[in-house]
Amino acid sequence: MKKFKSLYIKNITVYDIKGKKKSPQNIYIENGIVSDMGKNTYPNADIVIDGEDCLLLPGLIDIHEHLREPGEEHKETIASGALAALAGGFTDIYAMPNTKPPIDTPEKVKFNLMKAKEVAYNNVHVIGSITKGQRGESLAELGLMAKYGTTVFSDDGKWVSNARIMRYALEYTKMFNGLIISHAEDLSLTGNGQIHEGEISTLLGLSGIPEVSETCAIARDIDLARFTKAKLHITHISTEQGLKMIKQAKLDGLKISVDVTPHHIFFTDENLTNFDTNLKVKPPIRSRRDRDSIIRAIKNGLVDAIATDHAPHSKEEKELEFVEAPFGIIGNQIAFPILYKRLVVPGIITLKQLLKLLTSNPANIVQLKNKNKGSIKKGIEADLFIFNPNEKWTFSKETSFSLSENSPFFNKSIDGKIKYVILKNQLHIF
Amino acid sequence: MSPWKHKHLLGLSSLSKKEITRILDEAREFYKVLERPIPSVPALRGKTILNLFFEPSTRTLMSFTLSEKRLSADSLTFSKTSSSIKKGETLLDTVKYIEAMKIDGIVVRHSSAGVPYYLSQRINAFVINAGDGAHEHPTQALLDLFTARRHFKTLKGLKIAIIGDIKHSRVAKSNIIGFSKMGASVTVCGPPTLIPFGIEKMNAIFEYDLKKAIKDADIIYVLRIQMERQENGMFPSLREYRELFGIAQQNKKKGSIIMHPGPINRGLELTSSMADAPNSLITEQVKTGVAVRMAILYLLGGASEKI
Amino acid sequence: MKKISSENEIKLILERISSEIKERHIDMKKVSFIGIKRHGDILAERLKYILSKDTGIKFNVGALDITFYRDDLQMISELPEVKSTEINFDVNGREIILVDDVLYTARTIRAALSEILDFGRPSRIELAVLIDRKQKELPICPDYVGKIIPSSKEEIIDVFLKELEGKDAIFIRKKDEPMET
Repeated sequence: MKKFKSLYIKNITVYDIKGKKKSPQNIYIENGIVSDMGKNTYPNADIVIDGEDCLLLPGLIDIHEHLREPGEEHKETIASGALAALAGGFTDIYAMPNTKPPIDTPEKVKFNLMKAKEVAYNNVHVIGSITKGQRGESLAELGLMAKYGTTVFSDDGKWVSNARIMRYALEYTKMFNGLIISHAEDLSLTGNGQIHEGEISTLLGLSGIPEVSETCAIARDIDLARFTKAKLHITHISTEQGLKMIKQAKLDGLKISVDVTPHHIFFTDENLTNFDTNLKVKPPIRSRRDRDSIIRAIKNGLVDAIATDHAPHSKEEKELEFVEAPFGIIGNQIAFPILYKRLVVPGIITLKQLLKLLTSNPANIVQLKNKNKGSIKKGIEADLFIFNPNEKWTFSKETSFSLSENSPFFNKSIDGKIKYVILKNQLHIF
Repeated sequence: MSPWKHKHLLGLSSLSKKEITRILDEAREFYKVLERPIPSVPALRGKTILNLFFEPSTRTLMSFTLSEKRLSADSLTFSKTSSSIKKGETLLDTVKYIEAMKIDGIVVRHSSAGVPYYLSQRINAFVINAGDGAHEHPTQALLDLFTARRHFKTLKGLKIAIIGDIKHSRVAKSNIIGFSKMGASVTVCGPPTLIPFGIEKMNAIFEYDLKKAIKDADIIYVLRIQMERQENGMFPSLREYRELFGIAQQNKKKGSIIMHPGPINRGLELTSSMADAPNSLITEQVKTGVAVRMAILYLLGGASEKI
Repeated sequence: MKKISSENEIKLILERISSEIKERHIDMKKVSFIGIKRHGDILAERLKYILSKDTGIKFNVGALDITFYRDDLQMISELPEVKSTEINFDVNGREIILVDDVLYTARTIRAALSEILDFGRPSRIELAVLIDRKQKELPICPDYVGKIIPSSKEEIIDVFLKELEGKDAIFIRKKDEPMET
C-alpha cells in the first residue's frame, strides 16, 4: 500500500454504472478526491500510472462474506478476508454474523467494526444477528445494533424457522428502515442433504437437498414481507422456481431484492461427479436448468446483485469424506475476473450491467452511506480499481490472500487481473 | 482381447458392457478353480491386499478375504466404524498409513459415498469399492450378473424386478446400471418415499404395484429393508411394508428366480419359504461372490502395470 | 526364416513318441495326458489318438492353462487372457504325460507341474515335447523329445498345427523377421 497526495492515471478506459466514458481518459486524484477527468496531463503527480490496455472501474461491494472472526481465525480473519476482498476490487464488504460466538449484541458489532478499522484497508461492515445466539427463539437487540453500527441483519445459514419470530423481525426493523437478509432454507427439508436432489445425487448416492427446501422458505418469507410491508432480501437464490416467486413478488410491488453467487452462475450439479468438496455449498450447486434460469434472471434484471458468499474452511475440514466436509467456498478475490469472463466477454450482459450488480444495486439494498457507489465522476471520493482484462494469473497459495484454499478455482488460471485499487488516498498494488 | 485398462473398480457406471463381460468370463474360470481339490491358485502370490472396512460387514468381508486367500495373496483386515474415525484420525491419515505399509491393493467399504474415489485419487494401490454409502456396490452387482447369467445363459432380454428401498441401496444402484448395460430391462418397486429422484434416467421403470412389478419378471431381486427407514417416517409400519412389498408367494411367471444380497430379514421382505425355495439363488450368490471377486482382484492386481 | 519340420515329419515324431511311451509304461491303462494350452493340448489329443488306435484304451486327456501359475505374472504389463483349464478326471495315482510344443526356459513346465499337483497326486509325471531348444533355466528334462534345435534367445520358433493354424509345420526365425503365414 502506498499513500499519496496526488495520483495521475493516464490513457485509461473508464466504465461505471452509466457505461463507458469518452476514452481514453486521464484521471487525476488529489487528497482522495477525483479532481479531474479528461485530457489534462499531470506528469508531476506523486504517482503516475499508465492505464493503457486497462479499465478503470468503480470499487465493488460484496454484501455476503464470512470473515470467521471471532472464533475461527484459522480459517480467516477480518484482516485476511478483507485484504482478499480488496484484491478482488471490493472496497465495501459485509461480514455475516455467524461467527463463534455469533455477532448478536451491539457490543460485538461495535467491537468488530473497531477491529476492522484497525486491520482492514477497505470498508468492512458488520451484519447483525436477527435472533439471540442465532437460535431463532427471540429477537436480538436489533434497535441498539442499529444505533451502534448496523441496520442489516441475518441469521444466515440458520434460517429463522419460527414464522412468528421472523414476522417480528420484519416488523421491528421497519422502525429504522433496516434490512433482513434471508438465507431461505427449510432445514427440515434439507435433512442430511449434501448436494442438489436430482439425477446426480441419485447416481452418486449422496442425500439430496430438494429445491423445495429453498422455495418453501422463500414462499413463507415473501408472504411475511407482504403482510408486514417490510423490506426483505433473499440471498444466494439457487432455483428456477424460487426466481419465479421473486418475480411475482416484485410484480406485486413488494420490497423484495435478491442476489446470486458466482458459483451458482458457473457450475451445475454435473460438475460434482468427482465428489469435489470444493463444490459442496449451501444452497447446493443445482441443475443445469436452474443455473440457466439464474443467468436469464441476471440478463433480464430480475437479479439485483451478485454476492460471493465467501466462506473459508480449512484444508483439514474440506479434506474429509464428502458428507463430513463443511459447506462453503471462498471467492471474493476472483469473483470479478471470473464474472467478467463468464458474463461480459461472451456478451450475456454488458460491463455496465455487471457493475450495477456489484456496486449501486447492492449498495441500495443495504443502504450504504456512500451514495456514489458505482459512479466515477469529478468531485467524488476516489473508490476505484484498475483491471487488466487480458492478464492471466493463477489463483494459488502464492497469490491468494485468504487463509483458506477451498475454491474450485484454486490452482487454476484466471483471465483478467485487478492491478490496483484506489481508495481515498491509498493505492494498493496487486 | 483388449488389455484391461482400469486401475480401480469404483462402480459399474464406469465400466462398459464389454468390460463387464470380461469380468464375468474370467469369473467363470475362477468358479471352476473353486471346484478343484485344492481350490486356490498362486496368481497373486506376494501381493498384499488390505481390506479397509469402515462399516460393519460380515459377508462381503468374508467373501473378499476368502477370494484373496484363494489367489494366494497376503490379506489383512482393518475394520473400524466411521464413528471412531471421527474421533481424530482422518481419512487422510489412514491413507498415509496405507502408503507406508506398501499395500498393493485395498478393498474399501465406507458409509460415506465417494470414499473409494477419494482414496483412488490419493494412493498408488488399486482400489476396489466394497460399498460406499448409497453410491455403488460394484462387486455385489457383478456377482449378481454372474449368477443370473450362469442360470439363464444370457442377460440380454431378461426382466428383473428390484423390490424395496431403492433410494438408500447401493446394491440396487449398481444392479440397475449393470443389468441395463447388459441388455436386461429393470423395474423397481417400493414405497414411493424410497424411490430416488431421476430413476427413469437410469433406464429403470418404476412400478407401485408389486403384483404388476413381478408378473413378468425372470428375476425377483429383493432388497433388505433397514428398520431405521421406518423410524425416520419413510413408511408407516413394518406390518404395512410386509403386506404391500413383502415377497410371500410364488409369482406367476414360470422359471423365475429369487435373489437377495443378504442378510435377509426373514419374514419381512421375504418369507422363509420363498428364501429357501428351489428357485432361490441366494446361496448360489454367496458362492459366485468368491469367484467374481477373485476375477476382479486378478484383473486389478494380476499384472504389475496397467496400460 | 527356415522350415525345421514338415507335416510328415511331425507325424513321424508323434508316432515315435507314442511307441516310446508304450515301451516305458507297463500298464498303459494308468496313463493319462495333459496338454499345455495352446498347442500342447492338441498334441496330447494326437498322441491319445495314435495310442488308442494301437491299444484300444480310452485315455483321459486334460488341458492346462497355466496363467494363474506363471512366475512372471507380476512382471508383465499386459494381463494374459485366461483360458480354461479342463482336467475332468482324477489325477491321483495316474501316470501323467505332460505335453507341450516347445521346451524353452522350462518355466511353463514348472508352472504346469504346480498346477497339476494342486489337482492331486499322480504316481508319476513325464514330459513330452515336440522341440527342445536347449535353453532351459530350470532343472527340468524332457522324457520324450521330438527334435533338439539348439537356438539362441534372438530366435523364435513358430509351431503351426492344423487344428489352430490350418497346417502342420515348424519354423525358426530371427526376432525381427516377420512370422510365416
